[in-house]
Amino acid sequence: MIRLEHVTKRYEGGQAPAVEDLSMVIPRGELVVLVGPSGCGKTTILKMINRVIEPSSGTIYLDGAETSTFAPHVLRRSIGYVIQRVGLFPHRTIADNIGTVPMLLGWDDDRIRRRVEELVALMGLDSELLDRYPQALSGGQQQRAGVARALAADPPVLLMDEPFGAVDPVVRTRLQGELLDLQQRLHKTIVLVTHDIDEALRLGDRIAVFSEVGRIEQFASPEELLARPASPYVDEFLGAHRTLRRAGLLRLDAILSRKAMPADAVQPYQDDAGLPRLASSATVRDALDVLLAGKHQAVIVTSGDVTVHVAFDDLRAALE
Amino acid sequence: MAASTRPLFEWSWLVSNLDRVGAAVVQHLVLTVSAVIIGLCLSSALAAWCLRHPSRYRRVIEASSLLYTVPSLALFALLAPIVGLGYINATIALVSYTVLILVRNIVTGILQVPGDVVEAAIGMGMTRRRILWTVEVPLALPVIVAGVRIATVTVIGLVTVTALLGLGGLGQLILSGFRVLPPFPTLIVVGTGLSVVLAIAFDLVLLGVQRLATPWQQA
Repeated sequence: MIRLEHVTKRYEGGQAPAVEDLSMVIPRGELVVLVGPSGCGKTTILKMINRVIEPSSGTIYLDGAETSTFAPHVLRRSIGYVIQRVGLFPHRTIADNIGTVPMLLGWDDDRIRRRVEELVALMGLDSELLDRYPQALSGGQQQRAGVARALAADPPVLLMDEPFGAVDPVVRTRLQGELLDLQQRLHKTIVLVTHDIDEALRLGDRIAVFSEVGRIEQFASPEELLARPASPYVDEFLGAHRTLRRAGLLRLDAILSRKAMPADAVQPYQDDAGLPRLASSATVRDALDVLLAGKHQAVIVTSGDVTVHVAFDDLRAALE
Repeated sequence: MAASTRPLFEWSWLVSNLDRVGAAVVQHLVLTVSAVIIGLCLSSALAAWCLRHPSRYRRVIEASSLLYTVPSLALFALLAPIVGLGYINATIALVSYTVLILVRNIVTGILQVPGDVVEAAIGMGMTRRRILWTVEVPLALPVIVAGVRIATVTVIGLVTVTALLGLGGLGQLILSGFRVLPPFPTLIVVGTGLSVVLAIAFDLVLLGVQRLATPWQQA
């Protein structure tokens, strides 16, 4: 868990503080996204957690301990760090890059090598790349190697500063998916900074929306944010099609649990065979798309031994 | 006019004077290598000082640029009242010329290390000292070695002038070629030719060192 208490950062010569009297709690095992326009202080906050930037005042706790009580370089070895332009060491092989923190921690060569191989497999990188230098890798591969490097010493906390900002949209979408898969397995406490609200909505368990002046406007789950934006600023920041975006986050499971009944209790419609079927992991948006595209009154959603008909009204009810 | 009839190059002289030529080459090497090594140490210290206080960098560069405009012969003369003529005088002058080139290249080399790489190094928990020696210096090496190559070639040329201070080296051969009557072209050709050969040889060796030290650039 990361706790910030009354944290303020003033830069020399800057009139307004970059971050002013910020307090927030980032729960253990959650992926928290800091999102806001550039200059809102989100990156400053991230870098204060691993003391790449020192706060002017206030206290930051990492699992109950004040971060200021550690030597900065010791603290940083226990926190994974991923930056936008990756920053792989161009003069070191991918294996050496990934093994950086274990090397700093004094692991023996055998242990480092085993760990590097483990991470390469975890990140879906080709082990042939291990002896190459970073410049031989594609942007996506470099970013994966960067994440592997951040995870090398198995830190409980991962800080990610616009991690997918430098790759093309197709690769970005894929890397976002990989991060979600990774997080399901690893349950790290992740703080991710982005200016892309779509990325925030896709990745975050919780999202902190910052205003231009570095104040948190709302700190909530994506669903909550879309359903009940706390201020006109948040509403505007979320952009158009708020309801459709929410529909894109809401899975049909939610409707299933509301309407659920045993399969044998469902009286099959005459034209059951003609109704489209969706998995319960599909979203309300998927269902809307199917309903709007065809002439059907409902879709059939199945999960295990539960089968329900979901009609347009059910979808609307789910979004209320 | 016997003077005009001496051939440009006499093999027989070279063959019978290999000892003398060899000694001149060794003296030339000693002066060159010591000046470059001392210059490199001094420049590293100056560069480190400049990097810690960026405002000083400009002043150091200005001061050494000024020094660079002083003709070598004048510098030897300027130093003579203080240290006399000889090895120390020559070395001080030669080192001064290397400093401008080397400080500039070391500082530029370190500054052009990508900011994201340094930021990553800090974020990984490397200490400042470790970042300097294992990240910044290796990545600055191509630019630093390029500076060493220019400095070395410059010094090899300048060392021929130190013959005027009564020091040995290939300059002494060239000077002797002019001092006899009639002038003896073979001495001049051997002195000049070997100086050029030395410069090229050093340049190639340093290029090889750079290639070996930066395997990532060969990938």
